[in-house]
Amino acid sequence: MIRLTKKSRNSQRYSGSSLHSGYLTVGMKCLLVATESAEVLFYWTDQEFERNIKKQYGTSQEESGRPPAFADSINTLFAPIIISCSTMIDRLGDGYTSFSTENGHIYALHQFEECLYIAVNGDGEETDEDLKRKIFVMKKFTEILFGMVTLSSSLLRKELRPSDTEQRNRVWKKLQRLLETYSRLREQDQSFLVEAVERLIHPTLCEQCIEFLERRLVQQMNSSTDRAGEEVLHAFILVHTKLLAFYSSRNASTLSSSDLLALIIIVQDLYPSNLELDETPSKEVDSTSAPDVFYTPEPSPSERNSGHLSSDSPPVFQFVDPDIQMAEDSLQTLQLPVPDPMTPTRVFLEATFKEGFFPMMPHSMYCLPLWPGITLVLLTKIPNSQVAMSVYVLLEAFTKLEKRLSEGLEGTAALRGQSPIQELRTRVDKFIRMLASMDILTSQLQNTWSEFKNKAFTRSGPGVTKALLPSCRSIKTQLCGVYQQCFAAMCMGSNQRLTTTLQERALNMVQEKLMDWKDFLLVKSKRNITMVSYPCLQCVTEGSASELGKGPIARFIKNKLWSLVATTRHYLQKGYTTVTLRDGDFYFCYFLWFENETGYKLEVVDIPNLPDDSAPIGMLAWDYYRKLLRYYSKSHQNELVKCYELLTVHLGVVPTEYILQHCSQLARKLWEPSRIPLL
Amino acid sequence: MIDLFCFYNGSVRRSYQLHTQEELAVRWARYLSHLQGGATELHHIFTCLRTIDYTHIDPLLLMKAALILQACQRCPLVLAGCILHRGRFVDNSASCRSESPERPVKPRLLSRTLSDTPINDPSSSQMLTSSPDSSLSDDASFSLCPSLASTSFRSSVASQPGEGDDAAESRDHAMANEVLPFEGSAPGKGEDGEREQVDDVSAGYQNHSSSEDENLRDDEEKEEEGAGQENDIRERRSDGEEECVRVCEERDVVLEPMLLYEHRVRGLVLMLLVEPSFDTHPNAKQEVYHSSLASLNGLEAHLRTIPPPSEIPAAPYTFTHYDRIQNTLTTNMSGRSTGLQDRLFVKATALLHSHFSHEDMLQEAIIRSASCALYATRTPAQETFFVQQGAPARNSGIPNGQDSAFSLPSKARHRLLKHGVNLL
Repeated sequence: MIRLTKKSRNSQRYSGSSLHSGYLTVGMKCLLVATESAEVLFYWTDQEFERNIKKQYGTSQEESGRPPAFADSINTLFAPIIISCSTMIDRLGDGYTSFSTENGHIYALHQFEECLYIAVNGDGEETDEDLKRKIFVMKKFTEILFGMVTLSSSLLRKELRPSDTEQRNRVWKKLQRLLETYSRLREQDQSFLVEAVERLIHPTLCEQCIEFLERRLVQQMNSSTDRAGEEVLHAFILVHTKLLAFYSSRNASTLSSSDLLALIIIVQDLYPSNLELDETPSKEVDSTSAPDVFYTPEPSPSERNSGHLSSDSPPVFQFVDPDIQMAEDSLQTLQLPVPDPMTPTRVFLEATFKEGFFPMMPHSMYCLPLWPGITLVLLTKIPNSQVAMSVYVLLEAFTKLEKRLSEGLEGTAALRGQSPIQELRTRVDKFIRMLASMDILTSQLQNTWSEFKNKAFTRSGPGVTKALLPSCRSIKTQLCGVYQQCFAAMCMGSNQRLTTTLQERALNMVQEKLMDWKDFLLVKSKRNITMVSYPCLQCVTEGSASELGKGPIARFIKNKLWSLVATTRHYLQKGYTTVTLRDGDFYFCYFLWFENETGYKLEVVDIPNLPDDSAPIGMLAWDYYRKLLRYYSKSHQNELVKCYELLTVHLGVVPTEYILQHCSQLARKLWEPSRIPLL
Repeated sequence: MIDLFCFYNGSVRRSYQLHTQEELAVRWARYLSHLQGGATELHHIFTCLRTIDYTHIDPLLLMKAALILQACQRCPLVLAGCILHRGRFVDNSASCRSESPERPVKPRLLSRTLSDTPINDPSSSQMLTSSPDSSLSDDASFSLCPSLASTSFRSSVASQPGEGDDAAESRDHAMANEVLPFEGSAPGKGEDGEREQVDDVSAGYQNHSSSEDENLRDDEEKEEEGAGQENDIRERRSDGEEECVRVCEERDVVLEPMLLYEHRVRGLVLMLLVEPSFDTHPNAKQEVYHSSLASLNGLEAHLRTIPPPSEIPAAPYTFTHYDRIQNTLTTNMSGRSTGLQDRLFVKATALLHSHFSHEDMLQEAIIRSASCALYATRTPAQETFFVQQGAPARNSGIPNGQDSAFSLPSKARHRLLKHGVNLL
């Protein structure tokens, strides 16, 4: 409804000249990554967009008599926008963040390094905020799939747009499917609506699973000789998008919520479970008992488990699913060509060790389908991953050096506050020797490094001055190149993986273990439908239409819920932590608050008022809540601060005081021991 | 600013085809300085007229204003009217009469014409080119209508020295305008149909234009003589105290010329939208003028005694009440307050006003940060925003029925009654 109003308003206001718009016939949804020189590195369009473009450009035949290639049409269409945006950035140091055309199409733009991302919507289904989010998610995908290669524009360009057509198709297909999977999940799955990991709550099963993963699976695998030098760091079981059990080994860093959400998208891409199709009417369920679902907080991190989800992340979104039906007949999956499940996916994840924080560390991800809809995921540390850490440390050092040089801080002052430049020199030399001992090709890095040393350390050279800047940049590119050579997916040797036998053994073990639980869960889920019973409609229910039922009313309510989340995020972005809205027949409430570890409610503070073009609030692409907690913790140095959100929808006829009373009851319930084993 | 431009000049594109850039630059500059000059932040959010403070005004005076407008509307050529005092809205009226069923006169005012700015020079009355169905916040689009008024009202608004130069300049404008065709653009309509309609209008307009033009020149000559008199108005004939300037109305496709009649008595301005024939009618203008003259003087004398907003003691709350129908704003926020609390109020109000305008179903909202809790409510006709003075009491932000933020609705209902705002 929002957008319709907006749209008609625009079309009225600009009606006088909309006939002159050149983009009238262009379609619905599109996302594009381009260089500043208007080279398209990647694009995704929906069918409608594609059809419209073909219609628009199909008539203009080339000399050959054939209509132009689709990619060329995309180029033609976007070139003016890309060029004008790069020109603005070039001349004014600032570009567009979004604009809408007279026919109601919205364009959102964001530049990351030298890549310009453009997302388009022409069907009114997405706001510029949605488009911005999509762009940031796309950026997240490139980081997950390409790691630190994204830090070098020239290398990323080759990675995103390989010159080999077949390879390019593969990369693009992969990213396109990830985007589609993300869009589908965001539309259907509440955990991707609010961007939080959703847990299946079943205390006994959960505990047993974790114990099994720890004592049996991971331990056995890591002591096996078939693991080809890999080490299982994390193991988890997903039922659709929901987390049943998660275990991290003692040596592992915490897995961030952002990464976990991205990994779930990858799993959903490999083994999609279409929730809209997955419609099993719960016949046995009394029709009067409404699905009742509520948030519960993430339990305090335990000392028992060395590995757990990062403790400074906001509550992991837990969900009591009343009728999880894991019976095979109820789980429908889309019939897509299933890739060889034994081939791992290369992913790059954030890690924090005692040495420090390392973004984009290479891992191998094994997705083993137990049954349709249920997947075992293993994340392994791969051999040589210490190279990635060294690369990152050196990249950081050179970035700092570059910054100081460009600020005009020359001579040895350029490295004040960190290891002197001589130490950097030793470190690079050592790094190159290490690579050589590992049979990694380093000739290009060596050449660039010699050049750097000649400039910086010889009398004839300019010394440590601004003149070193180009050399700094080429060394960084070379470092990313080494990283790419070692870890990039396309350079991944097909031999480097846990052996098939080992994977099969793992699969069988978990299948065997879960087979009993599967039945147990089925019975349990049917008997224990109602955990809490309240007279009002509650947010958040199972977001998919399957819980709300079907039909126009369900759709209406679902759309209301979805837009409520967007609205409250907008107010949160502007610093409002309490919002109540009376909207039609409904009354919406949103509360955000902070607690310390003991559950004591901390005083509300003014939270930062973010500009309109800041990254979207959420956890998948940019972890707003982690930053929020860090901000709040500044004034609560000695406590572990946690942040909670509550969203409710009540019928508007309920008196406000009852609604508020109910909300505060719910908020209290959140703190009650959840009986759920810790992750 | 574009809307304001279009109100007086018609479509921007056409204006540039008809006038030199330099000419139009002068007008843009005037509109810009006008918009930047007189408005508060709240004004910018709602782009509407501010009302006078009803709490300090005798209801009889409002009645008097209504009667003046009623009297004016006895003349069938008067379509709608409005009375402003020191740039603040006192009362308005709209005629239900309409010549064609497709063109009902909307009771909507232009949110800010140049005439709502308080003017130091106590004397002026004029007719301006305008479109009655427009407001800065409105969706309507505009089209061309040559302004014959540009110079004369500039001289009065800006009170520039060297009136003689301006008059000469305006004569040039007027002559240039005389021969201009009149055109509207119609989205989604065939070119032919559009042109046909346009021709009808422009024919009538051009005929009218030449006589109007002469009037204006007369006015400007007289203006210099009359400047400085107490109740002085540039007049066409010795007994008239008003000036007619072209107004045009565009409704979807058809643009209709209209005139804006203005009569100023010190800080008080009576504005009437009138049919183009008003100007040529043998005695319409005289009638309107004489029927309102005495009452306007009386009303002005009374309104002058009202204390200015700055002298009214601050209340323990701040509110803003926006009337969507009349496009007026009532607030107890004094002028351009820059205090932290006021800024927080304005920020929250802006957010919610924009939310209201996107979300038709939204009726009521409370938003709260650590330092500001705002209650907002709306009906199809109005929006009201309310905060208690001072930061909200310390709390954790957890849902709590005792939270002071949730008592705002009842407080607002209670407090705003005396401001004439009924939220029940």
